[in-house]
Order: sequence, then C-alpha cells, then structure tokens
Amino acid sequence: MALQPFLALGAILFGIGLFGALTKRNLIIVLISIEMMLNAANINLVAFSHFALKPNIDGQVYALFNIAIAAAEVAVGLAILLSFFRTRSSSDVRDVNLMKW
Amino acid sequence: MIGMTWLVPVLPLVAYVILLASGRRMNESAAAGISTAAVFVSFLLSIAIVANVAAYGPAAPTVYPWLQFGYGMITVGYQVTSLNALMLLVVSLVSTLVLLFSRSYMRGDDRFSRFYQYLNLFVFSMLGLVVSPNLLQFYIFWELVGVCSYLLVGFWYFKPEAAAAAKKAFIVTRIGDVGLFIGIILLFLARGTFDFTTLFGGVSAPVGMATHLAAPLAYAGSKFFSLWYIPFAGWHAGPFVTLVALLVFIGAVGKSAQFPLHVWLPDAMEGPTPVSALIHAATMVAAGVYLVARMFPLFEASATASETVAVIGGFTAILAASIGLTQRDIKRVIAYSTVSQLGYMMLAMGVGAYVSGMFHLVTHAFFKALLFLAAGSVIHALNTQDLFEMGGLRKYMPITHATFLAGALALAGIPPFAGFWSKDDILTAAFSSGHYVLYAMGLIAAFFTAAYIFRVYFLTFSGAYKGDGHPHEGGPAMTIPLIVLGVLATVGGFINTPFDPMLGSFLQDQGPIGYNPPANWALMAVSALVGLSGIWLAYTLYRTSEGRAQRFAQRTGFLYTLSFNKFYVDELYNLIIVTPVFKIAAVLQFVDRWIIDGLVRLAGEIGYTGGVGVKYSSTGQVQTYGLVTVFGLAVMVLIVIGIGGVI
Repeated sequence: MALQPFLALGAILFGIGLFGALTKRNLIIVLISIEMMLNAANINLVAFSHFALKPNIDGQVYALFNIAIAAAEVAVGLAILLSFFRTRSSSDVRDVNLMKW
Repeated sequence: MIGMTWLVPVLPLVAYVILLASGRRMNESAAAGISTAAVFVSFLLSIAIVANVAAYGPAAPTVYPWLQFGYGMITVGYQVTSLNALMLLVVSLVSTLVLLFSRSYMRGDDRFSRFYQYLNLFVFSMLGLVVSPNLLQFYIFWELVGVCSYLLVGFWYFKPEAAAAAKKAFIVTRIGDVGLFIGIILLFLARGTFDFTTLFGGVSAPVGMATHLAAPLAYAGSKFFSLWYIPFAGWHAGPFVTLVALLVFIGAVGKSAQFPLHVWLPDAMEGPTPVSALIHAATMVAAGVYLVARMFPLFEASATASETVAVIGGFTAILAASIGLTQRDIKRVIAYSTVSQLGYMMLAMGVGAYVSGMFHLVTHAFFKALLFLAAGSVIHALNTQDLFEMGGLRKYMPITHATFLAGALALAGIPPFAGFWSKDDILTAAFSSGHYVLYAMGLIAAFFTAAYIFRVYFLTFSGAYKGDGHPHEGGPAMTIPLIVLGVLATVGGFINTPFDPMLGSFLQDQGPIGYNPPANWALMAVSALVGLSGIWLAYTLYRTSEGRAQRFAQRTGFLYTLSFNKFYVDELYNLIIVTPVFKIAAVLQFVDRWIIDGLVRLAGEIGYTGGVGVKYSSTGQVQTYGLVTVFGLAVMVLIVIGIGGVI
C-alpha cells in the first residue's frame, strides 16, 4: 500500500469535520465534527509513522496521546454543553453568543 | 579693607537666607532687626571702603575663574573703583534707612517677614550689581534687581492693580534688557572679554578669541560685520561702536524709565511706599545711569550715541515734569519727578558731564528717597494718596513737614539745598558744551519741577485738613530716616560745589573723565530764579485762593488734558502694541487650539471611532470566527503556493 490513500482519507475526514464544525447548528454535531478532525490528524500520524524513511513507533504513540486528549476534551465539551443547555434550554450554537461586544 | 568688599553684598544675602529659613515663625522686631543690622554693617563697611579708595586709589579687581572654554574665560569677583565705592555708599545708606522706615510702615502686615526677605534680596542684588567686575555678572545682578522689583511692586498681589503694575514693570524693563544683552554679546564677540577693565583698558583683547569668533561672521559677507577687525585697537567711532553703545543704552532706558519705556515707573507706585523710595527712586532706577557711567568710554567713543543719550534724557526730563504738574496721586507726582530727574542724569551723561551725572544721582538718591518716605509717612497717617484729600498737615506732622520741605527745596533746585548744586552742574554742562536746546529743555523742566513739587507741598501741608482722621507722626523708626535724609538733602550738595569739587576729584583720581563744565555764576543765578518762579507759580495757584487752580486748568484746557492723561502714551502703546499683540496671540491661539491640537485630536478620534465601528464585527458567533480564520489561512496558502510568498 502507498502513503497517498491514507493522506487522502485524512484530508477528506478533516474537510468533513471542518465543514461540520463551521456549518452545523447543533452543538453535539459540532463536537462530533471536532472529534473527526482530531481523528483525521491521528490517521496522518499513524500513516507517517508507518511509511517514514526510517519507520518507528513514535507516531503511533502520539496517536494514543491524541486519543486520550480527545477523550478529555469531549468530557469537558459535554460538560459545558450540559451546563449551557440547563441555563439556556437550547443546544443551538448560534445561542452561544455571550462573548460579544 | 578692599579685600572685605565681598562682605558688603553678602551680609544682606545672609539676612535673606535667615529670614527665608525661619519663615513666618520670626516675629516682626527680629526680622526687621536682623535685616537692618546686616545692611547697616554693609553701610559701615562701605564707608571704610570709600575712605580707603579716597586714600589709596582704586584696587585691581579680585576675580575667580568660573567657566573656561576655548580661548576665553568667564570670571566672577568684585571690583572697587571710585565709582563703585560711591554707589556702594549711596545704596547701602539709603537701604539702611528704608529698612528702618519699613519697620514702622509695614507694621502688622501679614507677610512682614516676607517683605524684609525681598528687601534683603534686593539690597544684595543691587550691591552685587555695583561691585561686579564684568558685564556678565553685572547682567545677572541687573536681572536680579528686576526680579526683586517685580516681587516688591506686586507685594500686595491681591490688589489687581498691583499685580498688573508688577507685570508691566517687569515686561517693559525686559524690552530694554534684551537690547542690553545683545550689546553685551556683541561686545564679547568683538573684545573676547566681559571685564570692564579689559574692555576699555586699551589693552588688546586675547587675539585668538576676537579673530576666532569674528572670522565666521566676517565671512558671512556682511559689510557691517567685517568692521570687526577695525576698531578695537582704541575705540574708533565706527558704526559698530555706535550700535553697541545704543544697545547698551536701550537697557539703561528700560531700567531708568526713560522716554519710550518710562510707562512702567508711575504704575510701579502700587507697591508699598518704602519700596518706591528704595527701588524706584534711589537705587534700581539709577542703575541705568550707573550702567552708562560704567560704560562711559564706549559712549565717549561715539558722538551719535552720546547725542542720543542726551536728547532722550532731556526730552524725558521735560515730558515727565509736565505730566507731574497735574497728577492727583501724591506718589505718582513723585514718580514722574523721578523719571524726570533720571532724564537729567542721562542728559548729563549724554553731554559728557560724567561727574555731574553721578553727582545728581547721589543727591537725587537722598532727596527723592526722602520725598518718598515723607509721602509714605503722610499716606501712613491718612490712608489716602489723593492730594486733594490732604492739607494742613504742617500742624499734625511737624517732622514730616520739615523734612518734606527740605526735600522739595532740594528737588526744586533752591540754593543751598543738594539738588541745586547737582542740577545746576548739569544745566551748566549742557549750556557750555553748546547744547542750547537741551539747556532750554532742562531749564523749562526745572521750572515745572519746582512747580509740581510745591503744588504737592501746598496741597499736603498748608491750608486746612480736609479729611476726618487724626493724622499723627509715625514712631521713631519713621522719623529717624526722615531726619537723616532731610539733613543729607540739605547739605549733601556741598560734596561737589564749584568752590570745592570733592566728588569730582574723588571720581577722577585716575585722570579726568568726560567733560567738566567751568562754574558759571550767571547760569547758577538763572537756575535759582527759575526754581523760585516755579515755587511762586505753585504758591499763587494753590495757596492764595481756592479755585484758582481749577480756573487755570480750564484756561489751559487742551494742554491740561494732555498732561493729566500723561500725553496718552499708555493709550498709544495699548493701541499700537498691546492690542495688535493680543490680536496676533488670539490668532495663534486659534491655530494652536484648532489646527495643531486639532490634528492631534483627529488622530485620537480616528482610533476611537474606528474601534467603535469595528467592535460590532465581534458577534460572539464562534463559527463565523472559524470561517474567517479558515478563509484567511486559505488565502495565505494560495499566496505561498501561487507567488512563492509575499517578499
């Protein structure tokens, strides 16, 4: 197998995630989209780890770190989401507008 | 003894520092006592110095280096010549008496100690001015006395007139000072030194300095400045010498209140009366005359400059005397009299009569300080300065009356009082040196002088008292100075009579200076007669019958109005100088406020308004931010890929 298909998969996944994060109105979908972008990065890490000039384990270790961080981030993100839903009775990303002028 | 000269100005300075340090804690007696004692010791030292100079001749200046640069050196120090010694004596004597007088006059004033502080500072500055061995030091003290004059004229600063008068005095004399300063700089460029001795000693200046500085100026191509090289071997009369002399004279004109700049002195009468007696009669205003005397070789070298001095002096004498005839305020009459008498001194200097000018300076210091102090005594007793609210004080204030009469007779030039000898000297000098027009002006001014001072005398001391107070003499602190000055005004003229010209030989012990007029008995008789007829005029108008003066004023109509309004000089200055200056200032203020400041504020406004406008773009919508960020990233990537970067 060549490197390119993995990179293409990573790019497509990242593009879908970015599109979702920027356009979807539901906060949960936005969170999921962010997870997709993180996983796109993971695919790239693993691919480069395997196809490098001197292949080694470093990239895969990084991917594991990423997964752990992603889990933590989701926990925080969901907590914020819940708290937001309780106060505003909404999960629409357009209602998250307190940080404006 | 000469070696202790530095003590003379330093003692009042010490008193000043003590008063300054103790502030309001010091009570009146202590403040006055310390000050008077310090100045009195200065006076005693001055007597010793004069005796020393009379016995052994002048000493070489004692100087210490101050600044050293390139070819030149600036020194400070002190010098005693016969001229300096004479001035030291006069200044310290009058200062002592005025300080004593103030003890009583200023009693109970809130800032009594402050008043003595200023007076001490003034006495220090004036004495320092007198002993200065070089022009730069002279100029520093010259400005210091100006500052003291400002402080003391404006001593009662809560009176708006006093504050305005102080400012006027300072600003008007500044105009003259600028001329003097330019003159000093030009002299320094030409001669490479500030020292009086070297300036006029015929010794050539350090060559390096003069040519070093003159070369670039000559190179500038001006024909005028190329004259640098010529005259300094021995003061030939060239345009340069004339220019410098006139510039120096402008300084004297400002300080001594001569014609174009005389307007500040009458207004300065808003200050306390002892200040008028000390600063505006006897010492500071005489500094201008002293300056001309000190720079006498310079004026001698230029006939044009001397003629100018003489004409300005003569014109001032007659102008101020004619204004004095009609003023209602007792101090203003005496102030105009001072202007007029200073004009006489300038006239004397201008026609070359050095000794006569200095002689008149001395006698004038005595009788004018006396007249002011006597006027102060009257004002103190009556609390008014209006002549027409006085009268009949001869009964209530016999000492003031007697001393004022002595001063008035001296001023009017009645023999054998002091003023007669000196004024007659000046008139004789003007006549016998061929200045007949100036002589006539001086004679008319003498007539006016006698008339206005006896107008004051009759209105104040004779007739019936018109007020409703209880006038009385002040304490001994007031009467002692009056008596001392009264005696001096009576006999002071005998220091330089034609029979025994003691002052003349004292001042000229290093050889004759200027022009010494021969005694002329006919002219003396004329002077005395003119003085007497002036008194007679005042007598007929103000003593013989009520209302005669008013009728006389009405008959002279136009002239009376002119004189009463001081020839509208103030109004004229207002019209041609003050108003345009204010207009220009208003325009400049407009430019400053709306154009210069406007630009600065515009920059601020742009930042502020821009910020307010842009802030609405932060909507709080995270997705919008993300979109813009991604879009920006894409643009940057495109730039990098497409054209290989921005640089």
